[in-house]
Amino acid sequence: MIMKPVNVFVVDDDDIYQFTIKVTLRSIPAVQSTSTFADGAEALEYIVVHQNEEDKLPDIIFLDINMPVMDGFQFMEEFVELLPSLQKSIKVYMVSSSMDPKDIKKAKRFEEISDYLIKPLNSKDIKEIIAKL
Amino acid sequence: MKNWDIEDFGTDSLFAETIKLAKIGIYELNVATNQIYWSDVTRDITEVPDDFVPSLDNLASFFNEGHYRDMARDAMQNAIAKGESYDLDMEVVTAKGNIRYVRNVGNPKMENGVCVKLFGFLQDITERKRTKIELTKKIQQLNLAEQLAQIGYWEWDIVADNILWSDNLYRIFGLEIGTPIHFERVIEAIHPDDRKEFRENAQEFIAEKRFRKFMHRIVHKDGSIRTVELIGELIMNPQGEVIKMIGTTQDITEQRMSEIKFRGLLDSAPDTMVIVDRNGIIQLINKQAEKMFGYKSSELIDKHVTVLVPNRLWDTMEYYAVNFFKAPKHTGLPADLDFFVHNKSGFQIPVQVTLSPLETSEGLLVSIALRDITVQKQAAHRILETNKSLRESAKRLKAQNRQLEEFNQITSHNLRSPVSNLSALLDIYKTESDSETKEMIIEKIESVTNHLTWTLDTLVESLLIKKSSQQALEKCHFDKTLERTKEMLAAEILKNEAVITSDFSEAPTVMYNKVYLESIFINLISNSLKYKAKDRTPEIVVQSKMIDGTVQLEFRDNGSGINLKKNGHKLFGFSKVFHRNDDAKGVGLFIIKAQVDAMGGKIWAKSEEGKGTSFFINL
Repeated sequence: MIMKPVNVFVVDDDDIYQFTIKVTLRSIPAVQSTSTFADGAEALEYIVVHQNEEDKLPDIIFLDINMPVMDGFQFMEEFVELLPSLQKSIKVYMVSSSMDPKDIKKAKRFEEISDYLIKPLNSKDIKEIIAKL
Repeated sequence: MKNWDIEDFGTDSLFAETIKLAKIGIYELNVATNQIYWSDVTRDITEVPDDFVPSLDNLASFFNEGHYRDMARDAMQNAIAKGESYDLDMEVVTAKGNIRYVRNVGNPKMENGVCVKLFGFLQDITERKRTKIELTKKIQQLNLAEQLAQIGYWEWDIVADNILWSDNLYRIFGLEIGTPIHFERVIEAIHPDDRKEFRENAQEFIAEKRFRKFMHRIVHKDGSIRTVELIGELIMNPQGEVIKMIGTTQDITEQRMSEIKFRGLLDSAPDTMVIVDRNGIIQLINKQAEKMFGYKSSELIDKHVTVLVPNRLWDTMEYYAVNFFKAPKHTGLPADLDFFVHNKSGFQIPVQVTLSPLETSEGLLVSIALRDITVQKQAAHRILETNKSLRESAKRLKAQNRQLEEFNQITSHNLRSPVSNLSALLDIYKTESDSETKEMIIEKIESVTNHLTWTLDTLVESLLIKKSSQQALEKCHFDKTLERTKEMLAAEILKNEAVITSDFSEAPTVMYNKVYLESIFINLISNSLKYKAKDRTPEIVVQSKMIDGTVQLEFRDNGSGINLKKNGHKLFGFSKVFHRNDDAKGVGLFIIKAQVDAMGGKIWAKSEEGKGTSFFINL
């Protein structure tokens, strides 16, 4: 099975998590590149700057909820506005250590969020997600 | 006509005048000649015409056939034949057909054993007779009335100990009419249990010269018991000594029975019943009333009902009484009236009142039913209390819920994320073969573990704050607290060339937990230093105010500010940072919020991005 190369964005302020996810993603052949952002604002800024460069935009965003400056939900509000002008379809996955039902409920309100995933993510989970693309 | 002996009296004589005035008529029969003489009065009585000549042949027409005619004939024949006198009360029929009653007296005049003349006179007794008939009728009616009312009349001649009874009194006592009665004979008929009182009453009435209505029972021959009531009065001689007692005795057995039944009914009522008349005078109370009020029935009867009601409610009572008598009907007073009665010892009892009309022979009475609603009142009070404490509990629960939510947040984010990191790191460690990378992973595990330890320590600290809200209060001087804060942050202040000014003139001190107050100062001032604006030196103003009796602190800076619209909801959260700042650990505000909350205060912020932030604390 030949898979299309995939760009992944990880938006999370936790550097340990950044480290572990990068290691995990590296082990998956389909993943072409991984970019990390410490908060929603940084990621959004990048997308806005590169909105016309399809190969620089991600196929998948793993988005944390709790981040300084702009958290996951604040990011989503801005991102939803931006989405129609983008050439590429981007899947957003909310990734959090929180099992708080309030967070899960809030995430479901965004139809642009494909799923709510509980940390930690292992390579098996990620492969399944890529396979669904 | 000198042959009439009676004429010898002379028509002008005193005798003739007298008999004329007394309406006495005279007649004379000459036995030998059969001639009859009638005086003028006799002619008047018989209403004969002037030319009427009486004779033996026409005499019979003056008597109705039968009893009186026979009586008249027999009397005359006996007088003539045997010389017997007669004195008869009889009926005559006048020449005009009227009935008259007469006394007819006849005396034969005897000569040598032979009746020669018969003298007689007639007295018109019609009036007297009528009166007598009338009287008889009256007596009969009285008897009937006595029988109907079951009343008997008596007269006691105390001196002679002779008692006169009306016929009906004999009937009431079940004795044969005419039986001689004296005091001891009456005693014999009285119920053994009532005899002593009867004697005592009689003695007392005589001694006090006053009769008092009383009751006793009598026992008939057949053993049946009747209850009678006596009303009477005393009759005294001119010396003021009681010589007679007269009065009536009424059989009130049925009345008494229904009274007893009514009493039983009244006493079996679960409610307190007080029966009063139109003027508010108590007529009757039941056992429950004795219990509720602590008065004996005899202490309340004939008293005004106000003795049972506190003064402040007299107007209320009068209002309902007036309305009731306007249209007497079963009336329940409003449940929320808050009516009270008070008992003998002045204790007030909340009651529900119901008024009912009671028609009696003595007029309209009102039956007042009272229900003690102390228990209901207490229950209502308890419900109110319970409601209040429920509301307080709900408030506390809400606060606790909020705290729980905070903790849920903290465990979700701040505890789970290092744990998931550890788990991810361990996974990688297991699959990693490169020893250098493995070393790096171990370092990261150490770092995560340290972070986790720090998080747990902070949580424990905040829990301790919440638990120890009843910390001892101390008088804290704001200027001294600020001084110490400046000393502790001396290096930071110097490095940032910060200017810290203060104004504690309005409220220089506060009763507070000293450690918490210092924590508030250090955290807020160090925050201001951390989040200073990059283009200007930090200026911090600390000010105390007195607002509505509460001391309010304000920490105002000219720092970078926070977008509260976006971040207001997580300002005081655990490990929430809003800045890309290396020092930002996001726990200071969380801790001081816990401290302010624990002391029952409030903390909030105002901020403008790029201009600065103000924190306000109601201590």
